[in-house]
Amino acid sequence: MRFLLAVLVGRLIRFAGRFSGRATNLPGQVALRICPDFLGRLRFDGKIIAVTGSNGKTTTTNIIAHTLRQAGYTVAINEEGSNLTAGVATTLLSRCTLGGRMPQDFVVLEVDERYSPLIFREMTPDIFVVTNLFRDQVVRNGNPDIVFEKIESAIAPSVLLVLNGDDPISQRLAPRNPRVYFGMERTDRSFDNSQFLTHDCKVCPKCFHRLGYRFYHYNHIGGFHCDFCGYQTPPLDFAADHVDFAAGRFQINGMPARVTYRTIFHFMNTTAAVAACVQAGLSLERAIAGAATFSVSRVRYDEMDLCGRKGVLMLTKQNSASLDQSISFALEQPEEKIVVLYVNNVLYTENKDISWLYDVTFERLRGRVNSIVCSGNRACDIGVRLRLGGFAPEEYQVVEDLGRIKDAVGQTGGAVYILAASAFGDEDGILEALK
Amino acid sequence: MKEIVILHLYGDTLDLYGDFFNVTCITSRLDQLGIPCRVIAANLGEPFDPMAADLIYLGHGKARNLAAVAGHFLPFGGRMREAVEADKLVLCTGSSRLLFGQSFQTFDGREQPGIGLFDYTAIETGQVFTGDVVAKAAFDPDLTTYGFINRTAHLVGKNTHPLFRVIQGPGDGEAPDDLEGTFYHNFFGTWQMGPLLARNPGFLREILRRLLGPEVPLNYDDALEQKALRLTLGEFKLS
Repeated sequence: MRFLLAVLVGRLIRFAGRFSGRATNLPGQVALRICPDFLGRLRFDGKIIAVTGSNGKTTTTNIIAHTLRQAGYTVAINEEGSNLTAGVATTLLSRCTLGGRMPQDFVVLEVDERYSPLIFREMTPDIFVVTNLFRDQVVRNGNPDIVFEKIESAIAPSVLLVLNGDDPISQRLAPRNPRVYFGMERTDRSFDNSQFLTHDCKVCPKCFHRLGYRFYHYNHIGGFHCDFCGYQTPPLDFAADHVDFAAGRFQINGMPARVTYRTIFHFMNTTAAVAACVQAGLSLERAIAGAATFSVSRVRYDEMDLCGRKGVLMLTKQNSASLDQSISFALEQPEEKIVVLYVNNVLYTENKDISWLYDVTFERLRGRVNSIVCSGNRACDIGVRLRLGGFAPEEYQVVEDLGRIKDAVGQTGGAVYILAASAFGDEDGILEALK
Repeated sequence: MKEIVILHLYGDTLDLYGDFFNVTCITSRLDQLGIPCRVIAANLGEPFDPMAADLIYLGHGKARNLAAVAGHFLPFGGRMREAVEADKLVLCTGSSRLLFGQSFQTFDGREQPGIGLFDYTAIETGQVFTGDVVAKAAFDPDLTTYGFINRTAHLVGKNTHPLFRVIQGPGDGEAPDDLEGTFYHNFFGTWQMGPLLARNPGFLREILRRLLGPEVPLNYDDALEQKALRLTLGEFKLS
């Protein structure tokens, strides 16, 4: 009775919220208050695919849902950002029948890594994709070991895992569970030595001896091996190979595949999504064809005109590997450019911590961009970071006052790459100031 | 001037959130002052001599990694204690400080002995505890510092040699407590993690003064660092 009431009240709030523009979490919050085991009481006709990880979970979730829909299946998916318990509840209550049944062929859920124990206490996914684990958002997550333990505690014995064979951290999850590994062979952008300051596996996570790499894709992701205990990248069940970054083409298990957004993250996410879809019952051919037509959300990447100059906006959270990738993307574009770094306090908590900026390899920008403009309320802290990285004072400008940023950018030339490394939602400030 | 030797202990294993930039802060200012310096790394399985370095640095590590280095560190405890008593300069940020206490609980509930230089012991909570810390430094009551704590353990035992008097934020334990860190001879230990010396130019000057001696003038420009700290502190509503 409480369950049906929760469905009904949640639905009504969601309906009302459409007109008032309320947050996506509220209907789920109320439903969970009325019926605390709301998630456990839902009945699913189809399979549940869950996705978590430090980087790429939103994109991977969206590629999986897109691919399944392309194959003609009905899919329920949580909207961007609603990956905590209440957000998941909102998604499900708005897509279930009034009797509490999920009629779709698939429910595809992005799940916050820390909340996975709470969510999976009530409902068990059939397939669980973990994209990777990194140091990420120190204020929320502590460190990757803590996140690893939280995720592991959430995995029931029946769950089929889709894991990143090139990630020494997340590959070790729940060793007794059935699993498939995805990964990527060496590309022409692979490195023999680590190029990034953030390297979460300098030592083997099993025996703590120095970990060796045949090659690095980025940060600690790559073909690894421990000469002491034998821990290594396993044989890959879904191997991306022959990656042509410029053309956006590659192969998965020898079958031609395509992406529309040509970053290494995206090739990896696509491979993970294809692996999940094949486990869900699609043929490899159909999964690859579906994934190829996916286009990346404009929320995370956008292009615009800024006073006659090309502007590019890329968002990250307090996550050094993600900002490293934004820097890589900017550097890969052949045009002349400047970089605007926009860093604010941590959203919601207002913490002033910027230690994660010391894990970002800004040094790669030296001599390769016309200027770096430091902005946001942590502008001076970015300047201190750059100075310690060996940048000369003429290579960067610290602009604390957003009102002055348009002038500062106006004195430079080239495309404007804005790396908004604060939190989603407050990037409007910098865009307004630059227009 | 003779070469300054910095020993970075377990840099591969105790390595989180930009800690190693504390070493970079020191080496880049020494470079600027024209003083030769060298950083030696000693990792798991490698021997080291605390007396052979002018400064020893240990950073913040994950609980499993800290447990892994503790066994290696223990046999060096006697030499390490002697070095600290002989005024050797030591800087510990984050969890590495636990190695110097009586004992700490590991992630899997074992009781791991420390080298017993200080009285504290640590209890593992398994819960992430984070927060901004604004504090006054024990070595200079006029110096206000900013730092960030990210830990899953807390300390128990009386803090007889605090490094900071906390104005805002958590102290050493779970209970409200305005004392944080350890300051003893030239040993500086704190829960505050990450680039502590980059955030706190006054702290860096204190370390350099102790490293080089009071007669060496620290003629360098740290106006940007001072301004960054002033702006950060200005965002706190301090009474």
